[in-house]
Amino acid sequence: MAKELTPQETLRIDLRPPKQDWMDIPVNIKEGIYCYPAKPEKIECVDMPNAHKWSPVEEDWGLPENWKEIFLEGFRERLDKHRTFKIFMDICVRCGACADKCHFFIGSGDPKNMPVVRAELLRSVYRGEFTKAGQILGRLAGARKLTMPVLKEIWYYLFQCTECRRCSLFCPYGIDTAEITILGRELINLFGLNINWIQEPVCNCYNTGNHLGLLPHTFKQNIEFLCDDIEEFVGIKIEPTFNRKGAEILFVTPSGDVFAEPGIYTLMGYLMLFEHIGLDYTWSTYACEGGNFGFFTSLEMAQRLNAKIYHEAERLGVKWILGGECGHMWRVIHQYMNTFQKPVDSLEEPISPITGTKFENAKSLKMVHISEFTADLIKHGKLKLDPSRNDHLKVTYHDSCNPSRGMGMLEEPRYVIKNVCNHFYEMPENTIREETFCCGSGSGLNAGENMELRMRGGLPRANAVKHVHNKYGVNTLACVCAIDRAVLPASMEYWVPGVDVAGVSELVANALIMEGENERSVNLRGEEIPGRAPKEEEAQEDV
Amino acid sequence: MALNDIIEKKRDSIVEMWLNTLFSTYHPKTAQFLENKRNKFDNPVGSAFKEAIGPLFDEIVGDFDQEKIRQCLDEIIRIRAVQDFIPSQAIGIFVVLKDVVRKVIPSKEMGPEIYEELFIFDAKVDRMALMAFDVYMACRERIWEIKLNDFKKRPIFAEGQMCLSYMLRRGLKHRQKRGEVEQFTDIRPQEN
Repeated sequence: MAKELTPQETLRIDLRPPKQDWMDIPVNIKEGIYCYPAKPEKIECVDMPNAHKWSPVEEDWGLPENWKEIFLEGFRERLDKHRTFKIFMDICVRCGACADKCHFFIGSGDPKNMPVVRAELLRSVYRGEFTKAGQILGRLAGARKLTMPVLKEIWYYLFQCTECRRCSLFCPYGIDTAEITILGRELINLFGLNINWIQEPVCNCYNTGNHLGLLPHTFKQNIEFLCDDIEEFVGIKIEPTFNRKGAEILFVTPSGDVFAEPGIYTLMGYLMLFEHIGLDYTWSTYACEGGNFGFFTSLEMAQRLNAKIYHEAERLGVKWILGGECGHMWRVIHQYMNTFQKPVDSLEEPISPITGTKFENAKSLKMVHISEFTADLIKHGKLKLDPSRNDHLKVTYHDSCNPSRGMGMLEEPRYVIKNVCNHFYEMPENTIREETFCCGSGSGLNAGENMELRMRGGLPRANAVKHVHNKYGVNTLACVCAIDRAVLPASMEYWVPGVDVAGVSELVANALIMEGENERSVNLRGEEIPGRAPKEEEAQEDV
Repeated sequence: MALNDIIEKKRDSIVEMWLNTLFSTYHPKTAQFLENKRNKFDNPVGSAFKEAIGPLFDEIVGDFDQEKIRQCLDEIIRIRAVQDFIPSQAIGIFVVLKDVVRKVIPSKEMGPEIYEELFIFDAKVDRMALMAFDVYMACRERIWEIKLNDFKKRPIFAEGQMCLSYMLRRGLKHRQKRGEVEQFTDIRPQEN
C-alpha cells in the first residue's frame, strides 16, 4: 500500500536544483535552447570536414572514431597559433568579476552561463589534457579529461554565447570570452557539429555572395521593389545603380536589409539619404553581404567570405567604401578586414564628397560607417530635416554590441537620432554604450527554434527597454544592426509589447525633406503618420 | 486570535521565507546573485521577484483583486516560463505558500479556532495557483506564437534556395498598379 502522506508532506514540492559542483551536473540538452544541426551538404559546400547527419538529443552524434584526437590536435594547434587563446587558458583566476555580466546567465540563472564557467568548460579540458598540474592533480586543479559528455556540454554552451564581449569589459585581465567561444566553435567544426542557422548562410554566401542566397537579379529586383515603395509613400522616383564601374563609393550592407522586415525600411532609408545628397555610389550584386556568418564558424571562413568587399571595390574602381547598419559586420571590418586581406591600393582615404570631411579613422580600412557619414552630413547642415514627422515616436537607442564595444561608435547614432527625432530617452547607464546588453541572439543564434534561449538572453536588454517604456512611454527601439532588427521585435513582443524596432537610417529618412516629395502623410512602412492625414480626407471629414 | 491578525504580524517573515524559497529553486550560486545584487538592471530577475512577491502576498490576504494578482504572477512567471524549469517547478512556488505560512506561524497558534480561516486562505492560494497556471500557459503559448510569427516572417529555406514570395508579393503590388501584370490572383490566405 502506498505510504499515506501527511498534509504537510503533500504541500512540499521539491523545487531545489542539484547542489553539486558544476562538473558533476551532467548536461541536459533541451529543445528550444539549441539550434538545429548543419545539413551535411551545407558543410560539404565549403569543404569543411566530417559532414554528417546527427541530432543533439540523440546519444550517438555520429562522430569519427578519432574525434578526440582531432579535437585535441586542433586545440594544440590553436594554442600555438593564437597567443591570446593560450593566455586566456592560463591566466583566469576565477575572481568572478564576469560571472554576473552575461545576459544569458542573468536571464537563465544557469551557472554554466557565467562566462567564467562557460570558458572553464574548455579550460578544464585544457588543464586535463595539456598541463602537467592538471594531469597530476586532476579535479584538484580544476582539470578533466575530454569525454563525450564533456564534448556535448561544450557544444551546448558554445551556442549559448553571443560573442558580445560584455563580460570581457569587466575582466581585470581583459580575457575575451568571445575569442574562447570563437575558437571553441572552430574546434567543434572540425567534426561537422556546426548549427544550420550559421552553416547555411555561410554556404549561401560562398555560392551567391549573400547569406540569403539571393541571386544577383533577385538582389537587384528586391531593391527596385523598395524603390517602388518609396515612390508610393514619398512620391519620388529613385533609380539606384548596380555594379557601376567608376562610381565614387561602393555601398555594402547586410543582406537582411534587402529582404526582412523591418530591415527593408532601413534600406529604404539609405536609398533616400543617398538620393537626397546626390551621392555618386553603387550597389554591388557580388559584394552584396556585409554580414559574415563565417566569423561564427572559423576565422578562416570569415576571411574567405570577407574577401569580396575589397575585390569588388577594386574591380569597380571606387575611391572608398560606405557600410550600412550591421553589428558583427563591423566587428569583422573594423578589427579584422585589413589584416584578413591585403588592403587594395586603388582605394583612397575616405573623404565625404558632400562635406569634405576626411574620415581619418578609416585611413587604413577605407570603409566608413553610415552613422558616421550621416552624423557628419547633419553636423554640416547638409540634410533638410523635419524631425516633427517623428513626433509620434518616443525613441530609445540600443547600442549593438559590435559597433559599441567592437568599434567604439557610441555618439554618432545618438547624434543622428537626436537630430531627426524630438523625443529621445536613454536607457539606464549600466545597460548602454560600452556596457550595453546584447539582443540575446547574436553570433548566429537568431534562429527560430531556439526561441526560449533567445528570450532568456534578451531579458536584460528588454528589462531596460521596459523601464523607459513605463517611465517615458518609449515606443521605438532604434538600433544599427541587422540582427537586432531581426530579433528584437520578437523579444519586445514577449517582454515589452508596444515597442517597435527601427533602424536609425529609417528614422532619418522619415524626417528627410526630399525634393519633389508628396505631403508625406505615411511613413516608410506605409503607415499613416499621426496628425498628418492627407488634406482631401481632412476636408471630407470636415463635411 | 484570527488568522489574518496572525498573518499580519508575521507578514514580513512569511514574504521573506517565500522569496527565499523562490530563490532556492536556482543553483546556490545563482540564488546568491539573485538575492544580493541590488541594481535592478544588473539583476532584473531577482529584482522582479522581490518587487512582485510582497504585493502578491498582500493581495492574497487582502482584497484578492484578481487583476493585480495576475500582474504580479506575470512578473514572476514570464521569466520562469523560459527558464530551465518543468511546468510544476515553474509554478510550484505558488502552492508552496501554504507550507511557508505553516512554517512561520507557531504551531500553538494554529488551533482549531482558525481552521475555517485557514481553509479559506488555502482556497485563495489554490485559486492563485490556478491563475498561475493560466499565466504560465499564456506565456508558453506566446512563445510559440512568436516562434511561428518568426518563421512566417522569415525567408523559408527550401532545397538550398530562399523562398522569395514575400518580396515578390510586395513587388507584384506595384507591377499590378502599373499594369505590367494583369492576370494574377493570389489564392493563398492573406494576413489581416
